[in-house]
Amino acid sequence: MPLLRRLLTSALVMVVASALCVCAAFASARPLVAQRYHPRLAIVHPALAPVTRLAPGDRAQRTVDLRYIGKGQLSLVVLRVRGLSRVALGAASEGLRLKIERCSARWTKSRRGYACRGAHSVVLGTVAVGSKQPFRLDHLTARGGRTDRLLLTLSLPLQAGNSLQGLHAKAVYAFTGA
Amino acid sequence: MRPFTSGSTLPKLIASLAVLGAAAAIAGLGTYATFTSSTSASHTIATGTLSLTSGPTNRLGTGATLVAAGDSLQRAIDLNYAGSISFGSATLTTSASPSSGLDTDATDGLHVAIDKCSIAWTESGPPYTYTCGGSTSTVLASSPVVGSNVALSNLTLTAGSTDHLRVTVTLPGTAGNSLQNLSSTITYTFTGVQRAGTSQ
Repeated sequence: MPLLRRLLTSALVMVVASALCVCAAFASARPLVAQRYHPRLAIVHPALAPVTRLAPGDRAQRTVDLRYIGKGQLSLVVLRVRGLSRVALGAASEGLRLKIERCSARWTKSRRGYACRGAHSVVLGTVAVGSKQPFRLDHLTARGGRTDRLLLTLSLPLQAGNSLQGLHAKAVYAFTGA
Repeated sequence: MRPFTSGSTLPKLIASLAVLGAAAAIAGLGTYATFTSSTSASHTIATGTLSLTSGPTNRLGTGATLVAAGDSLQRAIDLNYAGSISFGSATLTTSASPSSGLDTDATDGLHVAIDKCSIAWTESGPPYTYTCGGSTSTVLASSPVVGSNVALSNLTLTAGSTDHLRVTVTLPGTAGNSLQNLSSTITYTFTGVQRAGTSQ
């Protein structure tokens, strides 16, 4: 059956070639499909000031400049908060809460907290930070070359009990764009 | 070149490779289906502490017997404030077990009052009586001996400080014969409450 053997050999060569192509694509810096521009996310000052001696009813605010480096537009940005899902501070009932707001201008700080002198929008309504699920962020520009000026407000509910006294944890805010 | 010796092995081998190749191709396409970029920021979060303790002076565990209408008894106690959070207020909750008419009769039963001295009370006795060499202030005006979350006034409430208190329990002169030969055990619970919420 020389014809069948040739056909089978040709098929084998094609399969091996396609597999090598895929492997080469994995190793290549250039994508296999047509180039689509997506900006890269970056935070200007990723080390936020620590929050200390937090008590029920307290809130702590920190600003984060989320930059979009490059060209294009992200269709979705999500936030995952790591480090709190398995500790008491992340308990859904009485643990830490997080709210994120955006200002079109720089946030200005006063004795009463931060104020926005531009267009203001809520990026993430108040949520329990201990959730393992990612939070979808709204009202971001998510466009290359732009910067979203965010205000993170952490709060400890008044119903937090004595079991939360004297605890500490490290919270990592991971922003992912797609 | 050694010829294939089996009519069935070669097709199986090729079919397996085809499946593997197709899977790799699908995996490759999946990898490029979505581009993502991530960045993160972090910080540490720590909660504060409150600590309210009594001592070294604490005479509240000393009972009184043969109390008659119009009698009073005095006991001193020190309250110490500690922790990384400031206190905003303090309350007193008292309960009786066993209970009797001495604590259930809000009019003619036992009443409690608390005073504070700016320095430690000078004790004499027993029976214990106390004098203040500094300035005094009223922490709790006379009220029925059993109460829940009764607000206390004029306390220091500052971490690292101590309030020197004198608890005075009185059986009013209006107490009638129905309160003769009764006994109650009173438990005093002082509770410190944190300051109001702030912004950091």
